[in-house]
Amino acid sequence: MATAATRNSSGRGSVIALGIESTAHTFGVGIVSDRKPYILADIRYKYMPSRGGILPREVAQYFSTIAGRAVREALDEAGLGIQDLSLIAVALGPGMGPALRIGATVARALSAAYDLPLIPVNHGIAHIEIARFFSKARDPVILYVSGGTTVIATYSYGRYRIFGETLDIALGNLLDTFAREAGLAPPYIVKGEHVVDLCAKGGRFLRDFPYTVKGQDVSYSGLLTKALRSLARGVDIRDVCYTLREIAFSSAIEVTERCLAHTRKHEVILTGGVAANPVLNDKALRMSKLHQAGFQPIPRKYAGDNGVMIAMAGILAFKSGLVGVKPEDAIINQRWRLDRVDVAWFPKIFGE
Amino acid sequence: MVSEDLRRIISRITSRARILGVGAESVLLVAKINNYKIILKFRKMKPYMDPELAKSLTILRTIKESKIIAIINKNRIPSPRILFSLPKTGLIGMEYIEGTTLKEALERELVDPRTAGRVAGEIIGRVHSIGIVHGDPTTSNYIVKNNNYYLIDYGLSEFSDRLEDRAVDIHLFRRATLATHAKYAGILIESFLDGYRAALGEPADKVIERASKLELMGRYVAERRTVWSKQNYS
Ligand SMILES: Nc1ncnc2c1ncn2[C@@H]1O[C@H](COP(=O)(O)OP(=O)(O)O)[C@@H](O)[C@H]1O
Ligand SMILES: [Mg+2]
Repeated sequence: MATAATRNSSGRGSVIALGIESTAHTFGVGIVSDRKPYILADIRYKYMPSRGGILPREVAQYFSTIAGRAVREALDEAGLGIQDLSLIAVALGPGMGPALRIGATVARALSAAYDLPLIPVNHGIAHIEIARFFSKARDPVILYVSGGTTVIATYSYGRYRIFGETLDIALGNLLDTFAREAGLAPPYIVKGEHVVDLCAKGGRFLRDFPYTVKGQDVSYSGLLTKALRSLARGVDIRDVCYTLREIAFSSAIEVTERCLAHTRKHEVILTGGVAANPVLNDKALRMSKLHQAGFQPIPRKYAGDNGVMIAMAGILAFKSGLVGVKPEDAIINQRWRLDRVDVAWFPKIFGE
Repeated sequence: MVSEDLRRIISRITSRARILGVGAESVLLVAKINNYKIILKFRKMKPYMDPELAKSLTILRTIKESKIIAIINKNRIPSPRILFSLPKTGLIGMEYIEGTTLKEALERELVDPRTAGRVAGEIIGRVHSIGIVHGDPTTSNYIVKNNNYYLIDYGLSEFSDRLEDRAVDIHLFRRATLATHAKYAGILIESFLDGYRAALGEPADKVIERASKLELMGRYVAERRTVWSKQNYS
């Protein structure tokens, strides 16, 4: 096919990817070029349950109703037709099975129908690459914090290696669970601030809360229990919020610091949904300064899940020689660890 | 309890010390008393924490480290000898081991990874055998001098002979080694376990089994997403 050959030939023209994100609650479609202005479209649909518990199946149901629309809107926003794309990138894991399947199905269909290379992307790797892109940090120590993930990672011998993580619940999970149990949420975010941050204003530090760091790992379940018990005993909720957040953030930053000291690297990045938090960013900055390391917060909008980061990671993989997989081989992997991915493009940063 | 005299002497030593380097949570100074070189380990108040939290961590860890090194010294497990400590200042004085960290020795290929792993494992086995877990056994926390290995940095150590806590030490060494020394990780870990078994004896197998179970059980899985918590941080 002549058109396919032209648009995919390297060296000429720019490489343009459409990236699909559907690992959790956001169905995102991003269109990205490897040349300025890089981000051509960024469409996101977020599943918001009207109330109570959420089933992965409901998320998938919702995704399937908006997926086609999201792709069309992304192409419109970019002012492109499908024939202008060089590849389709899709997050195949880790995440919730039913949700992942919607993204994978859409990506397979687009790839097969328009003869476009299909590039599988690991969701965690995409979070790292978009943070490297914005900060220009070449070889950073990475703190990746979201609703379900708390990981300290850094590059070594062809992969991002995991240095530390949470022994139990993730940082976002801790804050949200506490907020919900304490009756502060939903909604969890009010005027752009997390309700725990709002509540912590004017709070004071309580002495007897557990601070748990083991080597490069953190643990939060004891902290959550203690916070909820203190509330039940009538301790001022502002003090409880302040102390909970102070210990949770400080211990995450401390394990990042331990990794920085051990590896002797010179840059730090923060990525994932909780990376939007200004208090956490302030702590990361102070810690980095202490070790003369560079730190640049990620733009708030790109901390959480989106299709742009999937497209960026897809282009990096594609340009490093990954030709793509057959649609039938694009299989989702709910527990796809980021340290299983060979990052052949490293130390290159997206856009270079 | 430290007398005013000792305090004055320490402050005089400190003022003439030179900076050796920084660790994960401290600044290390070298000072000379006559011809004897000593290390001053200063835990700084972490500027990114609430001052009260920072202060309590500094004091707690300084106390713990000095207490535990003293016991390690008494049991003749290779470590720098402790000389004094001032918990409120976050200061510990100890013998200077003039060598390189195991991490650097491995990177510069100054030591054989098989021997290094074995000795590192033996030392942790001996620490466990006296009812202590180290809490941060990375290759930055061993010093190699003339092919002798010394374990340092007891700030996260605990008194424990629980299987679970011992298994965490094994797991921490394993994961930090995979992340830092990917090239030799296989040999290092394998020989570490051999050394550990040799030093701790029969209980070692259960600990090692538990360490690998920790990973299989998914307790240390990098990605765990709970459905309901993704609303705000997706
Ligand atoms: N007694 C000692 N002799 C020689 N070097 C030491 C000694 N103690 C510490 N160091 C050096 O300082 C570094 C940091 O010391 P450590 O006790 O691990 O502090 P931290 O708790 O800050 O990591 C070590 O990695 C080592 O290079
Ligand atoms: Mg250390």
